[in-house]
Amino acid sequence: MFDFNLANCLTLSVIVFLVGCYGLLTRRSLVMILLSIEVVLNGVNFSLISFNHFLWGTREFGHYLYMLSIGVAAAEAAIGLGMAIVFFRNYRDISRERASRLSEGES
Amino acid sequence: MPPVALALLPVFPAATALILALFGRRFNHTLVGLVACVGVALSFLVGVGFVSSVSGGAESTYVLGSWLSTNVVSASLALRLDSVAFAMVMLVSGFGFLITLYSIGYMHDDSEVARFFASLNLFVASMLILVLADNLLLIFLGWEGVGVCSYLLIGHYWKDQAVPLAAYRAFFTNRIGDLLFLLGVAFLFAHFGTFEMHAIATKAAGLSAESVDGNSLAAWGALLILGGAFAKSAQAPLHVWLPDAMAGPTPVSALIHAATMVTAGVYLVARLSPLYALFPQIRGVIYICALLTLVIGAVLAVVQFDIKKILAYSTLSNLGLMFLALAADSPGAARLHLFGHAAFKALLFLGAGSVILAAHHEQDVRKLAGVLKHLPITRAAFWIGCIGGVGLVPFLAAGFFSKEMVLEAVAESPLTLGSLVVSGETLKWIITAVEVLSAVYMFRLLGYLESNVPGEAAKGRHGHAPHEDSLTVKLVLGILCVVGLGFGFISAPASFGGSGSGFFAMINGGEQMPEGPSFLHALPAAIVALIVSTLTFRVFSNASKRKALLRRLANFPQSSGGPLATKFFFDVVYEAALFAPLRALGRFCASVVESVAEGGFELLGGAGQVGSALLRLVMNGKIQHYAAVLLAAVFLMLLLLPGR
Repeated sequence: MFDFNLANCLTLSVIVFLVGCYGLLTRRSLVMILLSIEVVLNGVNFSLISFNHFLWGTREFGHYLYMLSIGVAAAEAAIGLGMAIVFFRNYRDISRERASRLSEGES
Repeated sequence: MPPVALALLPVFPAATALILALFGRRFNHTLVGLVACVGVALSFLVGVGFVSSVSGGAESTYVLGSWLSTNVVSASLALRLDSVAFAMVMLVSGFGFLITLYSIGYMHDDSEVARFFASLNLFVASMLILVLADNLLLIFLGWEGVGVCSYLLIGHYWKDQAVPLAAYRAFFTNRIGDLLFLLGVAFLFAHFGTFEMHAIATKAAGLSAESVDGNSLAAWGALLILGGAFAKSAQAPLHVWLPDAMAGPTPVSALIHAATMVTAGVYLVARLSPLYALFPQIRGVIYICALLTLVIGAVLAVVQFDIKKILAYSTLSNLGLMFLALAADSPGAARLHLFGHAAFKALLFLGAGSVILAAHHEQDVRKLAGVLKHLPITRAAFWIGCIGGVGLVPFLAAGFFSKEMVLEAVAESPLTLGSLVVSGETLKWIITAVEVLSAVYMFRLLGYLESNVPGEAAKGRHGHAPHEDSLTVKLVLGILCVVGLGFGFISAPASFGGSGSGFFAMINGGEQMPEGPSFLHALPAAIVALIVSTLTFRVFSNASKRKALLRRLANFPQSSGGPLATKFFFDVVYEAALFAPLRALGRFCASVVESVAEGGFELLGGAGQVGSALLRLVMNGKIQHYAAVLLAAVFLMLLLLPGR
């Protein structure tokens, strides 16, 4: 049932992607939201690897793309976490509700 | 001079105008004036360089390039210098230079000299384009240019409330004329197939009056162009702007509203005189309007108290005289009077400027009474100018021979308009009678200024009598005195033993000077003018006699609405027939625009508010809403991907 083939790998990648999306939409902490974004990205990355392995096994372009994407994701995560820390320092709170009321100013 | 130098003539003053407009504020007053003088002087010198080619009878043409070129219409940017244009170039650049030089002294205290001199230079450039262009379209460029500069310069003292109105008046009256002019150009093009003036004149000269349909396009074109010329040269019924134009600085009145710009209409009609020779009916129209202007100018000049207004109405009268010569199909006489008038009227205006300067901008002759005693050079200028203006003495008076020549021309050309026919002799006597009034207004002015009892402005301030202290003012007045005197000599016809034929031939493109008036012919009118002048002068220069006369005149029933007070009802008629309806129309349009615009803007504002309210619903600042929208969009795009 769980053969190692393209269809199953892509299904796994979609499931990871959807899990990430679910987290993105439902988590209340900004850190968890950031984490969910990483999960979404990894779902996409997994599809890249799968395509490369099953359709074009002799070359490794998919892996390069995957590493690029990881690098971008790392940078993005660093920025996102930085923002979350600043946000926490300012408001003693990193919930999405507080973030939605940014326009209202301090406290 | 190579023909290419023709282009330099207008370019020099235009360049200095540009320099002054851009950097003039940083220069000091004298430098501004000097730059302006240099521009005009260079033009004058280049013009002088053409004297040898022109005196040989040659014409120089320089084509800068093609302007319009289609299957139907073609016009080139061509400058053409024949001896007629050469004389005008000398007049414009020569007087332009002298008056610019004069202005350095006159405008010394002004705070906006850069704008003044830039406009003055631009005026000279436009006027040079006007006289050099052979192409009616290019003439229109110069025509508009001088109109704009005239507007700018009339409005120079814009802080005074009445001044902008005077400037508007001049501008709008000229707009009417410009419209007619442009229509006329189109009609002439439709008939003759060319914009070139000399080509039109040549073609018209080849026709005879009998063979031409009086209702043709050419006739209507000639009539419409006449409308433009009437506005520019202030002929009734489009004369109303000229007296108001005296609101500008006095040198401007001398250069633009006496010597050069107002003669542009005369110049144009004289150039096209073979065309007008074909249509006696149109010349009848010129006769009527010019006679009207002559009378209005002469009569109103007698009752004015503003020194510049007196001169302005006298200018009107003299322009009427030039148009009378044109109506009599004698462009030569018109041009001769144009030059003579420029000589004495510029002198008078600049003299008036000197008086106004010495009296701290007082213009009322009653207050200026006796002021000339303190101003020797101005005094000489006024005497020479007044004698020249009345045409009192042959040789010494600039206007004597030119006026006689106009009268001679009129005497030979009857007025015909519809069924109205007036013989030339009758016209001549009417004009002679009106011209006697010129002796009255000129010597009334002179009498006031030479009065034995000084007026309040002539007593001076702080114990100082009025005095001439500007060097350039005195210098230019001196030069113009010589010009004014000299003109009487160079315009003298052979019948007086004079040598005017050379000058006459030059300003008229080689045309021979007519026989000229015999001395006996001119004698009676001259004697009458002399007697009237002497009487007027003696009465007005003596304060007690003057007061007695004015008291007696005051007994005449002269209601405030009389013809003299309302300038022969022109203002009243224009107010009722034109301005009141126009104002009502303007108010109506304004109210319509206001309500429509107001409603429109309300609508726009409402739409903006609704739109922003809708957008606010989406832009609620909740991060996960944004994320949800983003993901929804992604899935939507996935669904829309072309599937297999």
